[in-house]
Amino acid sequence: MSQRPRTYLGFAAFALINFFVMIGLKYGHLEWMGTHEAVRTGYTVTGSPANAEFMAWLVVGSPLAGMILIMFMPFFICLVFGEIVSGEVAEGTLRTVLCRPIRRSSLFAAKVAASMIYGMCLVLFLGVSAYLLGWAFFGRGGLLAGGTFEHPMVAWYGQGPALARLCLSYVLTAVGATTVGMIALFISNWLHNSLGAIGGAIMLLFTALVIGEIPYFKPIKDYLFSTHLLMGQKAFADPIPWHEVAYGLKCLAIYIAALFAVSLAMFQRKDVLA
Amino acid sequence: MSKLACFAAGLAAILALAAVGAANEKPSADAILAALRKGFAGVNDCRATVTLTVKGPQVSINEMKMTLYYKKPNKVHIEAERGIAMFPRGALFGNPVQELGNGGRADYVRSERKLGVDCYVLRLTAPGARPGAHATVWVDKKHTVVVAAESTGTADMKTSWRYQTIDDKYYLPVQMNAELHPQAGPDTAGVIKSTIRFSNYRINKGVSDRVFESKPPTQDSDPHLRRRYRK
Repeated sequence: MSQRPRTYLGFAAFALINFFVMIGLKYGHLEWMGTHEAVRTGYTVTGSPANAEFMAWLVVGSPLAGMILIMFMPFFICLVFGEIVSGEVAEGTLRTVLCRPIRRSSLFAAKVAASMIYGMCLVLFLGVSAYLLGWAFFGRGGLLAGGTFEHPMVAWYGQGPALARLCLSYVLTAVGATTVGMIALFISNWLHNSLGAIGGAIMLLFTALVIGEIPYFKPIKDYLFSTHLLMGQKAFADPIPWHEVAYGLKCLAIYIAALFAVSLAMFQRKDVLA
Repeated sequence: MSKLACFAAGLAAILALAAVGAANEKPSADAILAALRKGFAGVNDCRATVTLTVKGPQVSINEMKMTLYYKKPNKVHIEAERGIAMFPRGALFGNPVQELGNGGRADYVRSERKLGVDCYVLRLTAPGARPGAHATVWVDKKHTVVVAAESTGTADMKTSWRYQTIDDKYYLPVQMNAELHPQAGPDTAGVIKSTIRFSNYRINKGVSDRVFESKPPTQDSDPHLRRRYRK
């Protein structure tokens, strides 16, 4: 995985996104994402919320984050998850590896673990790079969170609580990203085609998002993985809706476990000699 | 502040209180108001640390610290201690009498103890207020400061103030608590509770006019964003 350039594409893209977010914050008044709701609800606001914490929030909890976490993140996650098995099949290395006396389940578990570590690293990179850029250009401080377009709010946390909430948010986001990645891994294991895995996972994600917005399907909305993809944003609510977070985590954990189990069963039955 | 100014301010306050005391049975509401308006008369300028906490639906401000600058006659500036400062509009010093403005009506209602303090109770009606909308204010008889207020209108609001003597002579607010109860309706949200603490007062030590010439407060001037946020 570490030898392939595509593994680093996501890191490069997020570094670039964070750079432009920083430019927007420094010269383009992007701090409006945080102060708008406070001004609208009757507060006199002086100064600027721009700091490391605010930048890390912008890419995970603000209206900007929807684009990053629903479009970019799944794509780059699937790029690696969807290639972990099918890439080796295409290059013929999987056959060589499986001819050795090793347990297939161990090999598959190792591949999944490596993919999950990658997913976690990619999400954390998004946050850490945003934080470091923000720190370098604006310094550190408390966090002003303005919510999203659908759920606007005014929240201000001191530096310690802000960091704790940011960490929680990124961990929850990583769980969502891993779920999409597991779908790509499942399809990759099934079709032996990296492009199909990426396309299939993204298609399923957008289909689930569309289904979730149709009132007729409201009864099943809570069971769709796409509903919990942005649950990291709940970390900025006060009090944190732990019940909803726990439900989202359970839901995603079931998806991950089920996809892992089915993929493992397929991998163990895979005929590599054919 | 010069001794002469101190003496003049003190005399004015005494005269106002004397006017209040003159009517034993039913003090004049206007005299109480006049005394209230002279509140903090000895304070020419001051600087204080303000700590704001607000809790409510979709609002959570936790111990946000800022510095408040005040200079007579009405210069007020809030400066962020760490990057940003937010302050509820119209809540400076929390004096509802200032908000009554000219043309409002004040009626003396009764005297009673409120929050452990002997108070005059006034009913204030702002000019042009809709029928039934008014504010009830409890005024400390001894110090002539507002101790508590309750207002009705589009939302019911209850506020209370706690004071301390600063530098052995200035009786100033150290804490203000407010509770906002939106009236029942389809979009009714829960209660919003806020606490504003004032500390580290520096009174009449001189505040430069340049402090008040800094950048104006952030304005809501982005129609694009305003459209996209849920109303």
